[in-house]
Amino acid sequence: MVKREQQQQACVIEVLDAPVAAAAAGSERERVLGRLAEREEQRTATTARRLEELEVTADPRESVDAFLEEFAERRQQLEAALSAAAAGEPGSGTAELTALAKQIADLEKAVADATYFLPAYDLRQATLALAALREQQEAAAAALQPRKRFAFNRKAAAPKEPEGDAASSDTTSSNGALATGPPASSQPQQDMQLPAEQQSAGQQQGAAISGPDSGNSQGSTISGLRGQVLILSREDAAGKEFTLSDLEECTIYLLAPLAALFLHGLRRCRVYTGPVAGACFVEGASDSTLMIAARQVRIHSAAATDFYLRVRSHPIIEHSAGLRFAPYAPAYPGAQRDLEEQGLAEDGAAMWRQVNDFGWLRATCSPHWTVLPESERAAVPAAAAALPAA
Amino acid sequence: MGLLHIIRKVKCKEHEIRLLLVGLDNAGKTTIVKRISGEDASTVSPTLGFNIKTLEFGGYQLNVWDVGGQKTLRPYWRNYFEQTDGLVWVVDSTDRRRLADCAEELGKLLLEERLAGATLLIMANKQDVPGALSAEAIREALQLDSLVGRQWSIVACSAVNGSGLLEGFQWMVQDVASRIYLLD
Repeated sequence: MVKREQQQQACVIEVLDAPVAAAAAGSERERVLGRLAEREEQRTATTARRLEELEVTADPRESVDAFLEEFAERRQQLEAALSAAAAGEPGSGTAELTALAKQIADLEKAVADATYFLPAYDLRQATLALAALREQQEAAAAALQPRKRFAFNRKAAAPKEPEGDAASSDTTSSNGALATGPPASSQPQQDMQLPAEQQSAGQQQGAAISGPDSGNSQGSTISGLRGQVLILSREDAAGKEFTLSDLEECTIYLLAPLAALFLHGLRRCRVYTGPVAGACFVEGASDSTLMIAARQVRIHSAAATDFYLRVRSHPIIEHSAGLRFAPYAPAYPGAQRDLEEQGLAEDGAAMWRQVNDFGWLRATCSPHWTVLPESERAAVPAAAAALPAA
Repeated sequence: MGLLHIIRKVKCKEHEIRLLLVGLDNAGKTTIVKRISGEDASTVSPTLGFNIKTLEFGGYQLNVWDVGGQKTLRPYWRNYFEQTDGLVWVVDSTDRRRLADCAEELGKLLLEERLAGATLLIMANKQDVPGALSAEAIREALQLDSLVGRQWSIVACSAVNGSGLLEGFQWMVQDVASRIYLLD
């Protein structure tokens, strides 16, 4: 500012001087020219100084050209290194690739830092180039070590450990820990099927069921029957836990208080039970009629089946459709007394019709079940009623 | 370390333990909760959703989360994993048929990162029913001995007559407390 004022003053003086100079000798002309040259010199000096000042204050890192130059150089280096690494043997060069990935990341960071001064076009070009580099690196990594992708260790390692344990225990003892995977499920099933087969063999002769000798002496399984009628009276069934599985066109009477009841895979069957102290668990039933009194009733994967229930809690259904519900009727002489003992003497709250459908969590009525109209409700067959009271 | 320290301090003040009670349906989870809190268990419906029970036990406040075990509800278990101090896995000892299912579901649960630090208690429930599998048999079927890096225990119990419940919860609370409340 000060300088400019001085220059202006000089101009004013010159203008004021001019008439005087013109009046003076022609040598004045030389003086003016000299002065002009001097001023030109001054001007270039100030611009130079200004430029210099500008350069001092400006961040040298913000130079677009310098950045692009450096970027191109690093990019070329990385590309060369990557193609060299990709050409290597599989399994080798993992360390180099990791180092390269790190370098790419560094370059990415450099570009990110430069975003605020780079022109939009250059920035876009740089980003594109980086993406290509990244892709190249990943392709090289995949080619060299196809399986070694990033994964959390715990998940990958956990299934292996039991496997090792199982393998080692297998060699030491035959009934050691179960192996993981399919073998794990096979052993318990074997345990169950063995008694089941024994029983079905006995069933063919129409004999009443007896608990399997081995393993569980109290639980009983009725399994694999076709078109049979089975009546179990109090002596056979009282206080036991029963499993009925894989039955077709059978009629089963369990006319005594039971501890627990499992029904699996019943097709076109009719089942009448005494009161179950615990829970009744139905999984897979179709075209059947089941008459059950229990503390809890769970029904899974059933279709087109009528349930006559007396329950102390809400019966629930899951993955089922076409179910109909009706109240339980005592199935045998003396049933009322057994019901009373289990606290199932009456169903004042009409729980049998308060079904919870886990597959229908809405306020509206579930389409999967209905109340069986009274006119269609079946009576307990006479076979049960004819049974002598215990 | 700093954050962990703060969390410990906060928990210490509250003396709270969060227990997650899971297992297959029909295992007796809700009945166990009702039993230990002294409520009538005879009218328990299968759990649609979850129950929370807060209990005082051994100077600690137990927050017991009892989550329904029906197949349709199992995908929601994950919503309850956060901040669980102790995992209680309830097994129906009379249900031989689904023991493999049970082992599989437990296996899946134990792979959960958020449950990695939780103490595991297996309750072999329904021991009152004649013919129920022993705790030993369940321990084998669930392959508990092959568990690595986890504090676990198995207890034979019956929610109906109450046997085994106390010792199970006692062990759980002791184990969690010794882990979390180091400063006491």
